[in-house]
Amino acid sequence: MSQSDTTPTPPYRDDEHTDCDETPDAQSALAAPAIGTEAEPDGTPFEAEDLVVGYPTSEEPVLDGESLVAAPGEVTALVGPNGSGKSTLLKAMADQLAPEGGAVCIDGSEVADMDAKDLARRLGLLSQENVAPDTITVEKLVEHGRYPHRGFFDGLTDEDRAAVDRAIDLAGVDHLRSRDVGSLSGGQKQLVWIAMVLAQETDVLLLDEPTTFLDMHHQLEVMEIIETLRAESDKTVVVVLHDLQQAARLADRVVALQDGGVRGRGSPEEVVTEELLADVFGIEAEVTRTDLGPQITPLRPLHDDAGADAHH
Amino acid sequence: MTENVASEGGPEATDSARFGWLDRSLLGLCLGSLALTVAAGLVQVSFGSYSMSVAQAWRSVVDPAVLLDHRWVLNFLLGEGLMRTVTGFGGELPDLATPTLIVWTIRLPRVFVAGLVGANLAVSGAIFQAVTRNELASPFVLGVSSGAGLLILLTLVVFPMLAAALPIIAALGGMAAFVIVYVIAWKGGTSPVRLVLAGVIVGTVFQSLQTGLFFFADSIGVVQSAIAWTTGSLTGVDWEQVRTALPWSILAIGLSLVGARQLNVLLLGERTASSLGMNVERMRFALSAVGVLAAAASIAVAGIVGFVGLIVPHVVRNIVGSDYRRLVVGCVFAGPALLVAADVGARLAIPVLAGGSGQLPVGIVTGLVGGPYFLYLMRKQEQLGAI
Repeated sequence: MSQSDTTPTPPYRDDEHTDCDETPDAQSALAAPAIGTEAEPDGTPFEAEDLVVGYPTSEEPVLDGESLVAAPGEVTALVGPNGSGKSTLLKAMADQLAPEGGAVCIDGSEVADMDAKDLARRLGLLSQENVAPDTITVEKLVEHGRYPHRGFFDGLTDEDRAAVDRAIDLAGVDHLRSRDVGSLSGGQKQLVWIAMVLAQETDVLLLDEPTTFLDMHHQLEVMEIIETLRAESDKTVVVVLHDLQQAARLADRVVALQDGGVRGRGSPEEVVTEELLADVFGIEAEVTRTDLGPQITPLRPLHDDAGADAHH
Repeated sequence: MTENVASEGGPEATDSARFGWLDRSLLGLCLGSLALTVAAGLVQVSFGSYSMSVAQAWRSVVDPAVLLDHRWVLNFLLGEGLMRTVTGFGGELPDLATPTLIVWTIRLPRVFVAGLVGANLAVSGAIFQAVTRNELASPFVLGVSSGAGLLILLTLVVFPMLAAALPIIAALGGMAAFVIVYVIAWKGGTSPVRLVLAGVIVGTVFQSLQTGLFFFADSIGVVQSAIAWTTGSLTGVDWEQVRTALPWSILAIGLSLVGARQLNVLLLGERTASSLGMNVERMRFALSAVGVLAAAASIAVAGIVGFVGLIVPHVVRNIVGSDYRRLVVGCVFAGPALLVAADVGARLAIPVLAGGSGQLPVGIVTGLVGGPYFLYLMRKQEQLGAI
C-alpha cells in the first residue's frame, strides 16, 4: 500500500506502531487521515505520527503523542498560544529534535534515518531566529541554500545558479542581490532568509513564525510568497503562525495546539471559531465569515473561571 | 541569438565568479602584508654578531649562488640527505661567500620560521573563531596552549632525556588537551559556549600544574628554557624548524582553504547549518582538528606565541569581510607580516633599549602589541564576541 493510496483504510489501533508505510491511526474524530487521504499521487506526503517530544531540561514531554499529516500542494498552519508546542512540533518534524516516541516520515521514509544532506534536499526549515555575518552579500547567503546539493569539493553548477536566481526572484529580493546582509532591515533580512530556504528547492518547506516581528508590509510580502508557492508548486508547506488571523487567511488546513496537544484541526472555517478562541487562546472574540477567511475581532481576555463560564 | 550571447558570456561569467572573491581589498591586504614581511625580514637579516654592512646583507639574500642553484635550495628545504637522494648529487656543495653563508644558514631561516608560525597561528585562530562563532576565540582558547605548555615543562623537568622530541611532545600535548576539552564539553553534542568554558577550565588546571612544576626544576637553565617555550621564542631556530613546520603548514592551510565554505555555513549558526544538511558536530570536530594541526605546527617550532591567532583574523576580517576563503588567504599573508615584524622587535629590543646583547621571546612582543589592541576592540565595539 502506498502513501498516496486514496482508498480509506479500515481504522485500527496499535499504540506501539510507528511504521511509516501505514496510514496514521484514526484516534479520534480530530485525527489526521482526513487531511492526508486526498493527496495527489505525485506530491510528497509528509507526516508526523504519535510524536512524543521533550527537552532534556524538563521531565514532562512538550508534545505528547501527536500526529499530523501535511498534504502536498497545501499550506498547513500550526497555531496556538505561547508554549503550546507548535514550534517544538515543527522542529521535531524537521529532525532538529529527536522525538522520544513516534516517527516523522517523508514520502514513506523516516527522517531520523535519513542522511542529513538527503533530508535537506527534501525538507527545508526556516528557523525563528537567524544569524548571518554582516558582511555577507544577499546573493552569497542565498547560495548557501544550495549546500545540500553540493559535494565537499563542488563549485556552484549552472543548475545551482538557476535555483538561486529562481529563489531570489520568488522572494522578490532581486534588487537587494549585491547588498550586504548587515545593511538590510529586519523585514528584508527575513525575505532573504526565505530565499535561502527556497534555494534548497525542497518538496517540503517548514517555516517557523516567518511573519513575527515584521512590519505589515513585510508580513504581507511573506504571505504573498507562501501564496505563490501554493498556487504554482506542489510543495508541502507547514508554517507556524503566531497570528491566527494570518493562519485563517493563508492556510488550507489549520491545526490548533494547546499544552502540547492538538485541540482542533481542519479548514480555517472549521477551526477558527468563537468556541476554539475561548478554549485554546483564552479570549472572547467575534468571528465573521469573509472572502479572506474567517475574520477575528478580539474582544477581551478570558480569565480562568470566566473562560469556564463562557464555555459551559 | 540569445544562445550565442549566453555561450559567449558563459566562460567569462564563470571566470569572474571564480576570481570574484579576489578583489581590491584582499589584494591590497596581501600586497601590503607582503611588503611589510619583506621589509621586516630585511631588517632582521641585517643584524647579528657577525658584522657586515646592510648592503652586504641584502645582497647576500639575493645571491644567485644560492637562488639559482637548486642543490643549495633543496639542501635548505629538504635537508642534506634528502637533497642528495632527490638530485643524485654526491659531491661537495659549491662554496658560498661568508656573508651569504651566514645570512642563509643563520639569519634567513628565522624569518621563514616566523612567517610559517604567523601564517599557521592566524589560520588556526580564524578556524576556531568560526567553530566557536566567537571573535575572541584563538588557537589557545580550547586548551591547546596549556596542554602544550604542561607537556613541555613535564619533559624539561621530569624527562629531560626526551628533550630532543620536544616539538612533537608539545604538539601532542596541545592535541591531547583539545580532546579533553571536547570530551568535557560534550553532552549529547557540544556548543560553542560549552567548548570555550571547558577550554578555560582545562587551561586553569593545566596552568596551575605548570606553575607547580617550576618548583621542581633543578637549574635556572631549565626554567629559562621552559619560559622560552611557554612564551614563544624564535631564538636559535634553523632550517631544521622550517623543515619541521613546512609540510604541516601546507597541509593545514590547504585543508582550511578547502573547508572555507563549511566554515562559512557554520557562521550561519548551528541550527541553520544543520537544517542545510551539515553534520554540525562532525564538521566542527574535523575543522577544529585542522585548527589544532596548524597550531601544533607552530608550537612545535616556536613554542606558544600568544595573541597572533586572535589579532590577525580580526584585522583581516575588518578589511576583507567574513567570507572564509578571503579570510584564510588574508591570514596567510597578514600572519607572517605581524610575526616577522614582532620578531624584529624581539631581536632588537634589548640592544636598542638597554644596550645589552640579549633577546626577548617574540611572544612577549606579540603580547605587548596584542593586549592594547584587545583593549581598543573592547572600547570600540559595543558587542564584542559575536561574529
